[in-house]
Amino acid sequence: MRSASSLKMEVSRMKHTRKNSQTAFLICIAVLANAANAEDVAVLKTGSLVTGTVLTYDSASVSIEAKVGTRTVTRKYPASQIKSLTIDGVEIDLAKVPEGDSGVSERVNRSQKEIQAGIDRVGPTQPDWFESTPLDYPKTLDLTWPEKAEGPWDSSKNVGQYIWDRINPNPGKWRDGIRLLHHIMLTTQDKALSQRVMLTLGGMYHNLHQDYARSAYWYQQAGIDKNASNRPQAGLHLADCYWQLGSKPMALAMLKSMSSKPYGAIKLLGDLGETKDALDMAERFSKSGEASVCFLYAGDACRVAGRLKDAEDYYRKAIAAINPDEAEKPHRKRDKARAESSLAAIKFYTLDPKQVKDGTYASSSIGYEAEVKVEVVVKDGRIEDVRVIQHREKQFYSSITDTPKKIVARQSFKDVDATTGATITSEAIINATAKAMAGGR
Amino acid sequence: MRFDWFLPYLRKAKPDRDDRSIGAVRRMAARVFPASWFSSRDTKLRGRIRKVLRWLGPVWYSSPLRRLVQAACFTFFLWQFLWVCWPYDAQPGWQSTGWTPSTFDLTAQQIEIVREQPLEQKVSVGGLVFLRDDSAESVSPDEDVQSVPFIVRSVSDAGIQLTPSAEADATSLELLSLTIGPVSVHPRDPASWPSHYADNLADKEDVAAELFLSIDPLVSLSTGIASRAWVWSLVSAAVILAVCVFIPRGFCGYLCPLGTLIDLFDWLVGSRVKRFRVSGDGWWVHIKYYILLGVLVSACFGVLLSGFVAAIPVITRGLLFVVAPFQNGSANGWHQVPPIHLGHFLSIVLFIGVLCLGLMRPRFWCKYVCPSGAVFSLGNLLRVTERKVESSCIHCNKCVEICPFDAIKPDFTTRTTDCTFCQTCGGVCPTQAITFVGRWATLDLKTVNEPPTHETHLGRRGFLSAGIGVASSVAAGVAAAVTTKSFGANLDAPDSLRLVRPPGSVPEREFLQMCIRCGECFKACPSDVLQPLGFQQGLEGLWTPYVNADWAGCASSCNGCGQVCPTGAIRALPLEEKRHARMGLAFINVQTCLPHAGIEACQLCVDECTSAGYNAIEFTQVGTEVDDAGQPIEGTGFLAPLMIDDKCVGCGLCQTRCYGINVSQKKLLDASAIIIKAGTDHEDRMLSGSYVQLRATEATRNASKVGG
Repeated sequence: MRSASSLKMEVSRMKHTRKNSQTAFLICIAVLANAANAEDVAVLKTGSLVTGTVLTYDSASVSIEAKVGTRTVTRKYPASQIKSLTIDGVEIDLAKVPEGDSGVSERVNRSQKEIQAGIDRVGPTQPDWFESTPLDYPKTLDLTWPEKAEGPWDSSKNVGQYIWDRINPNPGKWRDGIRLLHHIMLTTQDKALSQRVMLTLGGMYHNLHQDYARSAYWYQQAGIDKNASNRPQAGLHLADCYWQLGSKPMALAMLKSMSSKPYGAIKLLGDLGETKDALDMAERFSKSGEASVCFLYAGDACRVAGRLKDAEDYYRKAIAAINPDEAEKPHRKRDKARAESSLAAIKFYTLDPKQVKDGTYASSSIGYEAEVKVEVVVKDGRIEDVRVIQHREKQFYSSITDTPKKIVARQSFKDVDATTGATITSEAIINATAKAMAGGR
Repeated sequence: MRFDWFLPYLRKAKPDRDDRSIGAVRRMAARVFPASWFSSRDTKLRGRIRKVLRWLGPVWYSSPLRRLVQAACFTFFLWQFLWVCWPYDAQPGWQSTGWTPSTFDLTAQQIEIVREQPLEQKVSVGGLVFLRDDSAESVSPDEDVQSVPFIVRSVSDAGIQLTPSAEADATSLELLSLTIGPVSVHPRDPASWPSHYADNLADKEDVAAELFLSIDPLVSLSTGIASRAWVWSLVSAAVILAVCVFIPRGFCGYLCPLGTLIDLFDWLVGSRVKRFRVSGDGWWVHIKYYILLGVLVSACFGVLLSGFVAAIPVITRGLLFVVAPFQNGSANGWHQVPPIHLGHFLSIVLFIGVLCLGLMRPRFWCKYVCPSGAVFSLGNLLRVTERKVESSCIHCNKCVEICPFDAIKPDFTTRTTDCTFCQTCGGVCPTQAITFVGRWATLDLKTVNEPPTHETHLGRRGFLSAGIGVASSVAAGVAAAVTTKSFGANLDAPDSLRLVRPPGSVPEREFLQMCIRCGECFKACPSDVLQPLGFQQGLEGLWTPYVNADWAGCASSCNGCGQVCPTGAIRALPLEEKRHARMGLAFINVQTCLPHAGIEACQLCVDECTSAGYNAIEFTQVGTEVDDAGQPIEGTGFLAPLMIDDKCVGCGLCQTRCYGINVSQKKLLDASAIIIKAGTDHEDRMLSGSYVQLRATEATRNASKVGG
């Protein structure tokens, strides 16, 4: 949690964590009314009742986790849309609640115990769609899935290569992938194979489904929380799961426990607000030969922290660090394009939505596969909507919806952290949004 | 009992003459309209109606009802062809975005949504609309947003009042109630399969678009014989033949749009160009019977030739190749008109030839050549009505001169097989001697062969020539069948050409036997996916529809071709069936496909297939580089298309896209890298049965192949 957000009222299931003058009073009432388990209710201006658990509230907005049917959904409402709000049976007058951070953070803080309980509860269960997803895979697939695939690349035979070639690029097959992995796990006695499946499940839930509780569960089952030395990427993902689930300390502890860290750790540290550590790490890692990647991450970390000047320097350094011998390789070309488009966009990062005239603006920026085109709707100094209208990103579909949501929620793009595992696409969306809005000054 | 509806010759009433009584309709009309419109028998002065008709011409003047019916039928035919079978006014379902819910009361079932601008589309109160939550928060990859159906209570500038429909899913409705907007309004479930082309045709098709084709008896008769199958349009043919028992050859005189077009041509051109006129009766007089016989004989051998010569296919295809390109080009742009080939050219020549026969003699085609007319001529043998001439005939020859069908003998009696009951003769007869009555009605008839006609009865020579005619037409029919077969599709050969046929086409052999080559399906097909074949399948496949996927792909929301097919060569499938009917399968050429060949990223076909809703092309990663540990390197290689055959119906949208961009525009390839192929195992060609069922069976079979 960023320091600024401490102004915000955080309401979690552990009601005693509230740090506000009203808290004690509220708890008293709650206990008296014996309504500790009662559901919170928000009545919208439309007359709708939203029943569930209020995650955060302040004079500007209310965020509620509601259960509808078998689904749990989170909705955030501006205070102007709320007619009345009742938490634990007590009606709250939002006007009297102090205003929170204007860049309203969606992040919920939870204790380690709470998070672990959540992981243990949700993790072993199957998602809603699991039963209705057919088991569908080529029968040529070798389900014994040896650690190292023999022979040439053959995605019809080797499970890992099948996932890489066929599951990851097709959002329509992501559920099939989970189904297949569970099938393999159920049918094998091989400990090593089971472990491989768990790791892959963790990765798939994290990268594709954004289901952080299940991802964390399977990483933990695979023992990554104890020892991630051989699996730096998995360790990084687990750390990100903890962060996404609401615990910065757990994420930091996880990162710290890892003896070798992947480059992505720079980015995660940046997201966690540990900019100094992130930059130190980037400098250290840049000597390894992937300097351009490290400096790109460092630039991103500075950007998230609002240090735009430093960010610019790092993006420049990233371009300069590309070895001329490698300049023609696709991944180096992409690094360069990314750095260049970040540089092109960064001068607009200070742009306040209030400076932008009402209207709809479009722009694009380079993503993983091609240009990502974004449309931004600005009305009354507010970012009303950000929509990705054209993209070719396949691997990391989640960022396509996740990042625009964050931009709208924060009313800003300068401190939006990129979706871990989908950095390039997220960055492209952020850059394109900045450039688009710059067109409306 | 009289069957008269001509306008009788105006003559002065005389007490000693028994004039025809004035009809009830005329008496009623006289009460409503001014007297000046009507003629007077006392003064023999023409009224305004007669003056107008006289100005229009002698045929209008004599038998105005017949001309009116002709005009109405011709207009109706054109309207069906040019408007009903015109797919381009179909609009995909609209959506109206940016609405905010102002009231969302689930207990009172009252919902109101508002917006600054009023609803730009028309919705009917009591009708159904769908609301979709467009707020960013409701969108997530694992949460399928459902639209909710509502009944419109009222629409005003202030907003729209709605009540949840009984079909609304409770969870979806509750989810929607959480929103503060924006929401969008849709006339139908935006997640449902699009159907605007199918709906558009169904809305316009109050009367079957192929009506005229289905009542051409030769169309269904020859198709039935050739395919040895029941053709549904035989029913319509039977109905029209039954009607023609009462109005002998009435089809030719009244309904046939080709006949009317020929009348127009004769009036516009034929009456001005005299040099090709022929006099007297020649060898051609009975040729229509021989053509009919030839067509039927070849049909017995499974070769369908009637499309070349039957009346309605000739005019339909003529308009298709001559008029439709101009309609399409002027409305959609000339680049939308497919190029023409020899097949088109031949059909146009045939059509113009049919019209130009009128230079020899008015309605030469109808009188002497048209085999559809011959069917009615033969049907006339069963007639129960007839033109008869009473003894008051004064041999003035006016009727012979005006008869458009040469159906009056020199002694003024009727050639009953040729008379179309047009009744023009009735109106010109100054003595009102001509009547149209029951066949066996007893009247004071004039004597036959007075004046002498000099016509011989079927003597030895006549019998001989008829015999020769029959023999030669049978021989010609057999020869035509043999020629067509030997220069034909040759379906038994393993390497024979297999064309992608319209969705729901019957098996190829039956298809060639049933397709009348009328061209109606081309007209109904949006963006000319279906195009007429030239000589690629020899004579046998000429003008049959095939899918030219380089040009365009089959629209997922259209089922037009089957709906307008008069013979059932393309089955009239509901859209739900059609979208599962497999025309072919797409095959990717991995040698040329840009990402497969490692040249550049391209996902045109995948995007096209996904947005059409088939999801039959997925991505596969190709050319991934691996590091020393055998792990794939992120960002290497390309995402390339991969066919999921179970889901592909061969619509060809992928091929169109690849051809349009990579071949035509960017010139990166010589041919589309993804091609639709038909042939065994690549297409569903069934005479009956459900394609949905077929796909389901296939899915179960495939599922059992997979382990687990």
